[in-house]
Amino acid sequence: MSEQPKVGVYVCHCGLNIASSVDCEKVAKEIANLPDVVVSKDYRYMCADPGQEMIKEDIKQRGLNRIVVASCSPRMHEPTFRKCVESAGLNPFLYEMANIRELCSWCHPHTPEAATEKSIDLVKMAVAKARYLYPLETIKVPVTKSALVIGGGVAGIHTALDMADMGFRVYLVERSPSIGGKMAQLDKTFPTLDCSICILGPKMVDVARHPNIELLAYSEVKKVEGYIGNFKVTVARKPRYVIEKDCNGCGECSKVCPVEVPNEFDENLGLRKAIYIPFPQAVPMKFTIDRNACIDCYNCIEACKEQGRDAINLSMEEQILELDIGTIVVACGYDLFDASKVKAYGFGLHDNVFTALELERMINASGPTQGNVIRFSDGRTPKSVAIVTCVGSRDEKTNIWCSGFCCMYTLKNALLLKEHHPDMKIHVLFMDLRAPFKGYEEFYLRAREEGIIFLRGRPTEISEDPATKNLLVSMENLSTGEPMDLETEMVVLSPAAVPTAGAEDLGRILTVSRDASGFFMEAHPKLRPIDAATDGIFFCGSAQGPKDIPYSVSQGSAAASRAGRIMARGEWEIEPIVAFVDTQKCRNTKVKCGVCTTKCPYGAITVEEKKAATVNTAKCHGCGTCAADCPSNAITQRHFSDAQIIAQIDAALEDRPEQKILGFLCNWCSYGAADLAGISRFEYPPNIRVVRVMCSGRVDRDFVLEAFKKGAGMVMVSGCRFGDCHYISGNYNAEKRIKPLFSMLPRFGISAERLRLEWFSAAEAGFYTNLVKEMDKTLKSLGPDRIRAENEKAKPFLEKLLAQSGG
Amino acid sequence: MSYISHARGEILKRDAKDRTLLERRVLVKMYEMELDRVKCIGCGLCSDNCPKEAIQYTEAEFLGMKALSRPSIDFEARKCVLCGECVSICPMHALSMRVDNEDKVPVVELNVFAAAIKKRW
Repeated sequence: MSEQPKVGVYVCHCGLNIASSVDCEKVAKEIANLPDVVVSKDYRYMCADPGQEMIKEDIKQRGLNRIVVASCSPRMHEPTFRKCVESAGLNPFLYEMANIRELCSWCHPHTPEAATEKSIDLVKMAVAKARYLYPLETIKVPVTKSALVIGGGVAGIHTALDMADMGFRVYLVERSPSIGGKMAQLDKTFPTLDCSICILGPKMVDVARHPNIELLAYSEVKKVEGYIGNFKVTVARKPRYVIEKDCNGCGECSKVCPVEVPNEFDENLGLRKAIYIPFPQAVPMKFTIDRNACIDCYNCIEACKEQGRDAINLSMEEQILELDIGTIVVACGYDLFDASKVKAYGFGLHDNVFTALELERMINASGPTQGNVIRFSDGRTPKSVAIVTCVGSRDEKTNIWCSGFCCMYTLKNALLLKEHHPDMKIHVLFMDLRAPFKGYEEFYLRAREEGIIFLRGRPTEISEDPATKNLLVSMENLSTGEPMDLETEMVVLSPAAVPTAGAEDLGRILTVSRDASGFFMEAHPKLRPIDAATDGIFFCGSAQGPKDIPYSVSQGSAAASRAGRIMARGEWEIEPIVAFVDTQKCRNTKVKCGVCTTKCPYGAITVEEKKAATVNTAKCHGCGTCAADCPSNAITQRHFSDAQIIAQIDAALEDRPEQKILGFLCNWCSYGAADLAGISRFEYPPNIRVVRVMCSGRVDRDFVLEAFKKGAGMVMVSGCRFGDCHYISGNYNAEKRIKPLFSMLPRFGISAERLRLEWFSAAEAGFYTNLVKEMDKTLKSLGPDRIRAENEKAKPFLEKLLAQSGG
Repeated sequence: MSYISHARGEILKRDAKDRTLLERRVLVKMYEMELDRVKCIGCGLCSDNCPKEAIQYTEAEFLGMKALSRPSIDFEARKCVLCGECVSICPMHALSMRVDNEDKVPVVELNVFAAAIKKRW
């Protein structure tokens, strides 16, 4: 850039969030001494209107052309300040952010001096990068006006209907033969006790009838490529062996089928035929043949022909669909915790221990027992029932989270039992009863009034009387403090909600991360609870965490509006952080190279013989792997250029480098974890300095060498766990590139343990915290003298190496 | 404990001295199938015709010309769907089947003979 940079720096107090441990005034003063810094101020709330006005005013009055705000994480307020800068007439990419809240003040509350020193370094790094910033034009991409909804439960149904009503084409993919999800299995819903399928059924029919919805039941998403507005989705339609358009759901085939197997929909308490619909209100009302159960008797084919149809095709094969999709909504729901994992409760061992969903099927008039609650051992209606809550939740041995809605469905089940059998003695054994939403507490009081007995305590064991098959529940009654045994004729366990079985694979297919519990992780827990970190992907319902029906429905509608917001525009701006090739430097003009094409995870780079490589900007996702791997440094990633990153490294290591850890953190996982560590107020040593890159694949070997040349105590390169990379294979490339350094560095005299290559997800804040502590320990055990000596010895080698690759 | 822990609806297999019992209990229905090992001569017809290939056939063991054991069959409970085809085909009446304690064979009830048998007869 020919113009002289005029940098304006603004240090935010964030009330006391930053100012309580960082001396913001001192930071601003120190920064003012840096070259090219024209303005350096501190202010209480930079993101508030007066703060933003101050920046705008200074841009106009003082002619600032680079802005640095030191405040929170760029994942939080970068868009805010970019807009602010833009409205003052400056290119939004001339703005850089220093994260001194999540990465500093929140993590070092007890060491204000070190926190201030770290903040100064972080701002210095931002200023150093800012001096090398140049204007970029945002890229506009067209948006396909169609949405993919994954999962046809109550959340998925509502999001699909809302988007279809907005006028967008919706593909609703459901892996089981019918939509409806868990809600279709329920008998009644709390707190109003209205019939579940009666209120869901009409919605399911609406989905089937809606001209804008294409229902792809019995299908699975296999592959997702592309980016916001332009996803290419591969859906596999599993063979039903019944031709959907020819089947009218008459059910004659099922009548003549000789094979009966347990019905998953009835929690295996009832039976279905090998050719079946899971429940009478299924949508689509099309039969499916379970080939694992079918004995090839062809009775169904004959029965179908007798009806004048020919809908059965036993040689049907999986069909692959390719869809063009603008936005994706994930509504894959949850699974119930497998109660047999809590061995002490004897589910699967004792006849008369049931789960809540089993009770739900039993008590349902169209369920396997036509609404009769009966014991497994003798088919008799029990005179007493004990319901145990928190099975597999709020327990360190299984899952620590509270699933939220179990208390309420426990109350519902208790009330339903009481309604059907007024003389039944019903005990609810609970740890805490949580009934926080509208009408829920009233529902609890109603249960008490109806004569349901509530006992506080967690059962330690449930044993069976071999003669009567009655159950003996041993527990400590926490109200009296006495141990007690409760004899009951039936036990119903209320299991926790856990991530659905396919969530892991789905997360991988979509490259979106999941949190420590396995549920999908939202972009921001408060302000973007619907959005995935990946643009154009949204979550709703229990995919993101356990939710009851009204919450799932409102999230379904919320996801529809979030997705609709993108599709309605017809085009979307994406960040111009793409790669470009310096045609002068590209080696391919002279010799056959093409390294970049092999490294690009998206096939965005094409190389023709004797010509410089070209980047297809629309295809480039901006991971920067090509830039790091280019042997002649001909590729630059915009906004993360070599010059910018090296400026950051140099700034971070200006003062006492041997005591510092330099971390390269990928935006999606490791930086997310570092942010989360701050939000969770985890404390760790303040000597780490963080360089944010989009992907660990961007980390050039030269960056590590440069850091050691500058005398860094330790260097860490980190990214997402394998298989979770936001850019498909960026972390694999990083590993391939960085690993050889472990054997190379000792040859120059640098101990291998001073380099760390680590993979962790955005949820693993604890891992990150421990990692920094561990590295600090290594650093201290080596001692600054030894590190200085090592660096001194290695310096000539590193300089030589860097000079070579720099050319 | 009286029996091993199992998932709902799974088929339980119990071996006694002369008989093998397959049992599948769901809340509202019970299927039982029994093999009388005394009556069974190990002809292998059931094994050949089982549509789910759920019956394993073990050949007789010989030491020279002397037979050490009869040929025998065994069930693979995981694969069985309790259709009763083996029961209907057994020439020795070694297999029997009960649905809710009543002698009943689903394939016979519904007058079905699966493709393989249809071809054969």
